[in-house]
Amino acid sequence: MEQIPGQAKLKALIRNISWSRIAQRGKPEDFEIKELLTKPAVYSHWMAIILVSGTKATITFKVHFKTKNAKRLAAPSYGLAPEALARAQAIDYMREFCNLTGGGIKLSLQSLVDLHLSLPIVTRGFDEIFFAEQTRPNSISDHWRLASGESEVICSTTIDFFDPVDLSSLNEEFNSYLENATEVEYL
Amino acid sequence: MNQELLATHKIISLFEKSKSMSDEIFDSLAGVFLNLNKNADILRSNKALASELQMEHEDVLGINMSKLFSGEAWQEFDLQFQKLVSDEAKIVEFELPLKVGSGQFRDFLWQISQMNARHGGRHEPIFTCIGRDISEVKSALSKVVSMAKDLELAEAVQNLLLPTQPELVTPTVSMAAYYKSASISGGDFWSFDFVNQNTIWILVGDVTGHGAGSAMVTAMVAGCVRTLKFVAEAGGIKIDLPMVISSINQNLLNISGQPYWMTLVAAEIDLSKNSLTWWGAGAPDIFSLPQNGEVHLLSDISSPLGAGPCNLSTGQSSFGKGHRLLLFTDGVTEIENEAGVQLGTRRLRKFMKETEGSTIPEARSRLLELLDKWGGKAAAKDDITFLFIDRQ
Repeated sequence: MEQIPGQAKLKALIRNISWSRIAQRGKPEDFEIKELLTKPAVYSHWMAIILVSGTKATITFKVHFKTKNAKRLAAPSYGLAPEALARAQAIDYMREFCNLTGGGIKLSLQSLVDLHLSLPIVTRGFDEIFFAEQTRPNSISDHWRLASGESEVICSTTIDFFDPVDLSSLNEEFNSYLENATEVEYL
Repeated sequence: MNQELLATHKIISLFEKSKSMSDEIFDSLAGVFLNLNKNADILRSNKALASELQMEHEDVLGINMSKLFSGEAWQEFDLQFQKLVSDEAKIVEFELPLKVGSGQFRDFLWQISQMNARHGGRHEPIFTCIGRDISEVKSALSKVVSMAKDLELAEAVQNLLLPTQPELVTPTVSMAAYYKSASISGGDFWSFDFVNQNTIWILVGDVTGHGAGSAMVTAMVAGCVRTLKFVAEAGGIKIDLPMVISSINQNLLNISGQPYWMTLVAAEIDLSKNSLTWWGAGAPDIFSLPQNGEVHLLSDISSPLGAGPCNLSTGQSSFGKGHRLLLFTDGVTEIENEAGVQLGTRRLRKFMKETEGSTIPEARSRLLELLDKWGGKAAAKDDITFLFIDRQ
């Protein structure tokens, strides 16, 4: 399969965006991007999805998680102990993380391709099998773990470009955008 | 937020809510409901399995089914599962015990099939696995089997004591009987015996209920009658039918625990006097049909045996040449047709008259036909016993 020039940079950029978004409410040094060695059909019990799409490209970003991990990650944002959080609050946190990551992807690629952002939705992880069915043979895909202590979520992305594109000039670092990122309050 | 975005947000929220409700219905399904990949890893489960395993629902995902069974049981599960993976079968069903969280095993009925492959792009097959806890059903079944064995034992004991010959033809009298219990073993009893050359004892009884208990009581009554008949035949002690009936009554009263009552009709035929003496204890009437005559009902008010002191009805009648008797239990007249209407005394009486001129075996066959026709496909609710007796 013919590779898109610089596609590895795009994968790294999306990983970095997800890391910066999850880390921005905690201590960044506590969070790590880790490899996921296998590709299970279903990653986890819950899944938040966002679509970054335009006429020339479509990028799907998903975060797969369990409620208990979402609570641990969300707790600092709410200023509560994880066990004091309702499931809905933890799920909303992951929905917003997905939204921020999608926004970061759009922002990072705006000089190359015109993209629009969908609203994030949360569904069961099992639905991943229906998404997997629709993956094109030449789609670029990636998955990784974002881990902090005992907590971790799994991220995955699928990228389709409909026109030839050169991503070699892409800056895979996202830190430069952090300053412009809008911090969201979770109420 | 502009109007389009607001509308999109609303529709997505609605979709999420709808999807969430569907998922919650799935989660709450009774029994274990799973989706598996070809390696038998759990891709989705409802809450029932988590509950059985005493785990968090969200932690069940990814567990391999081999962890849920003992070694041998897993081999059997895998054997069945591979039939689906290899496309050898479309659906498999089998029983296997599941290792539940408490460390105990519970019997489950498993049904596994391949998920509807309407999404053609899927690379890996997904399997649907349904498990139903049948441990209580199996326990109940075990009790039923045990009860059935008891009933068979009771039937065997009863058969040892009930008459083995349903037909008898002698120069002076002929008899044709029929007995069928509603369950494996019944509560009806009958006997027909020559006590001496000129004396015949006939007894037709019906113990309350049917099943093992009634059958054992019937066997006890039959044993009692048989013993007293031996004594009467020996001639050492003078024994008559009222004494036999009284003895049965006393035996029934002596049974501790659940009370058993018995309706009984008894008749003594004296061939030397062409006479019939009868006694009733809450039983249906005796039908008496003299040659070229009308059907008479021999009966009076009485109480069943086992209810207290004997309260018998009694009477005498002629029993000459060509005379026909019909003795029966209430299973005959109370048999119901599909509309729930009983056969009743009036129809049986009319039938009795119509048997005039037929032989005893013919009369029995015709009554059986009538009962079959009346009862139709419905199973008889009560035991059925009847005897035709003809004076030659």
